Amino acid sequence: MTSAAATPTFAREMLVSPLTGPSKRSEADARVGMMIFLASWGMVFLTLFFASTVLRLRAGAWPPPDSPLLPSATQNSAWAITAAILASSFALHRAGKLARAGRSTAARLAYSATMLLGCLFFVLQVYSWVEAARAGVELQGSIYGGLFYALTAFHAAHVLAGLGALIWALPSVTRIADAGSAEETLRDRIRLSSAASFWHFVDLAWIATFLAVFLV
Amino acid sequence: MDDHIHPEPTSFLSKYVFSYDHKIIGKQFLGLGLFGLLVGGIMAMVIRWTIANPGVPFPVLGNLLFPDTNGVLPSDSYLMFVTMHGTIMIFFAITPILIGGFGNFTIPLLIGARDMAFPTLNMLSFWIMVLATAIMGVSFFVEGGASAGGWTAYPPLSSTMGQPGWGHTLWLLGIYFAGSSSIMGAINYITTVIRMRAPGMGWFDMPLTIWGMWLTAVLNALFIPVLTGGAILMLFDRMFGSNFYTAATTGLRGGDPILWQHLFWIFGHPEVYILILPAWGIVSDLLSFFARKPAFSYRMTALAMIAITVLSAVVYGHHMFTTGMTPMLSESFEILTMTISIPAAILFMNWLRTIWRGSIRMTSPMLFSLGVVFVFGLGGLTGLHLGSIATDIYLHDTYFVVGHFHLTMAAAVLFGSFAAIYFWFPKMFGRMMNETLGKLHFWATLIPLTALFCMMFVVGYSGMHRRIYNVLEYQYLLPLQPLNQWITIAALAMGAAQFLFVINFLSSLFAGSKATDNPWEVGTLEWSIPSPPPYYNYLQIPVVKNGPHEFSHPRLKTKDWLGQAEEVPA
Repeated sequence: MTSAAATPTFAREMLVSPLTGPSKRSEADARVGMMIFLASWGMVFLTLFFASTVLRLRAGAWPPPDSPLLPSATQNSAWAITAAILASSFALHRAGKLARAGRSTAARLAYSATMLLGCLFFVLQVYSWVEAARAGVELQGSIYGGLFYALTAFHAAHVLAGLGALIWALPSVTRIADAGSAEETLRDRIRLSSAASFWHFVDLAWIATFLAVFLV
Repeated sequence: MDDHIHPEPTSFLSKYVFSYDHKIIGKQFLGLGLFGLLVGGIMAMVIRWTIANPGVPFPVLGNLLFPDTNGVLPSDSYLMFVTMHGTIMIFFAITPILIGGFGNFTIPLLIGARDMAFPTLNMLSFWIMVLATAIMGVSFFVEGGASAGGWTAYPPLSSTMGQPGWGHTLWLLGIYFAGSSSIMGAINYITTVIRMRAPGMGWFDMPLTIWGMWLTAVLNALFIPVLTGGAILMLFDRMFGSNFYTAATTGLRGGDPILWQHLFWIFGHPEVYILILPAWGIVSDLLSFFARKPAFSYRMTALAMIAITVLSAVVYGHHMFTTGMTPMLSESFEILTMTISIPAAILFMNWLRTIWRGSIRMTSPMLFSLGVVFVFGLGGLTGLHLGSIATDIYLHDTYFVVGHFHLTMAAAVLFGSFAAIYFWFPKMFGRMMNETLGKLHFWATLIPLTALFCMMFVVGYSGMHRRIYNVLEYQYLLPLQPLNQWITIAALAMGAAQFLFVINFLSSLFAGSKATDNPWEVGTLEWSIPSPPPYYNYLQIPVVKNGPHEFSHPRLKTKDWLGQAEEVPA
């Protein structure tokens, strides 16, 4: 976006200055900003878990004796999607490493695996809702069903956002792998690391959601 | 990202509308906030008029606003006006003026940076705020009108039973987007202050304005999401029929209305500090600037603000003493609340010590800063009565509360905003505001404002509930009606006084005398560059050598102030 004609010389100097190390600087800026964003957005998840805890403590008996329970199909798919999203985080981590090592094909493969596992996550999530609904677990009129649908749906919205972020950073993987020097892929590295942080965050948020809804 | 060095914008659209420049975005937020202040202020006038003169048409605007009732605010719209007055003033006036407007304008300038860390995010933050404002505006025109659940939106008043229709749903969406805008701003402010201070500027060399803005941003980042989470559950309740916040009619499946109060106040109490911290920071600087003395015990002032920020996160229960929580819990909240008075007293004493025996210049920004000290003192001291359980049980939801929170987070913040506008106007627009009109505006605001909110204490202490539409229908309130009418007279006088500001602002914008680079003769970095600053702020990033309040240094011969980037003369 910085066109040479309209930019004062000091700005161009700053971009390439060997003294200040501008690439490192802006990469660190992005990392700090992303950390603040994730800490902040993590508070939304914490709020939902807090609400869930308060409601469950107030309910006396949990699950409430007059509510239909989550079917085993939903429970099992929750285990399956936990595995899927953990694997996806691992694959994404590999993809970043491979890209930085210049192994373009392997990096793209690992990155595609991440996105496929993300899609699998979403499909299984929808399946678990359908099964729960067929077993009579309702969003309306019961906080047992209400908490299940609200927490998982809020998380699923983040999976979609995460997939969007991965698509946004997709071209960067190839560019990082094919580039000669680290300097010329500054933007791509920021893009990839931001998308990856978000995806790992969605992964962590799922573990917490899984604990809150299915295990505790 | 290298975005923070952006090319000079050339077209009107890229320069004034979709601008990446923090100074333009600051001005955009300021404009939006002043518009919100106007709308919220007119609503306050209508509310006061209705209390003093039940059944009498509101003058001038009445027939335009309420054509169906011949200019009288109908009873079903009264609570809507109260709700939207609070919502607009908090989220769409104070927040955009002080945090969006002056946060954006001051942070990069005062720390010697060329722009925010993420200019694109900054622009997005503003336009999402515009979207939120539009949603709130639209909510007035849907069937059933805007939300009438109170700005605190307690269920079941805010449930589909209490608020059928789209008004409250749009309110939640508006709050959601306004909150997102604030979070984006906070990410930018926190990162910018951490990463982009000019070389030589340590944390304790920052102007106190920046401390206020930064701590506000931290609270924004951590606690706005709590409201967001609560609002998401309420949206589920309203749109998909879940019942997180409504007790069940049968069986064991019900939710809990008190849950919303927890979530709301976990956010809500930090929110009042979110609103006041920027004003505190600005006042701490301005008192020093215009007393021509270093801020007394700068480090303690900054530490006191940090302590208040931390404590603000753990006192929210004092809003809920009447919900029947266990005495152990409410007493803990009481003690924690009282603890806040320690750093608050330090802050206050430091302000007084700063102006003590100073060569005070009574300019309009100084008058408004002193006004903050005065009205915040009144509001803070009455807060003790509300923080104490024994008195709060009686005073809860009376006009005493209304008087208290208006003095602290309305009057003090309003005066802080005016102080900031009068002070930075020359740097923002390159012209001076009229001093005589400014001083007139101050006195014409201060006197009725103090009178009106102090009279509210009396009305509240006498037992008047805060959301009564027609006082005349209550036998026990009839003796208070003359006092209510005096409050309204004071409110209308204060409202009228704001025309002085509007006239001053607009005439100075176009015809004010040209401002020099440093009209107030102070040393913070923004006064070392032209007024208004070029789009890149600093041609050379300054190297900071002094604190922000270096006045009357013994080695200075020709002037009494020292710039932050200046060498002390030998």
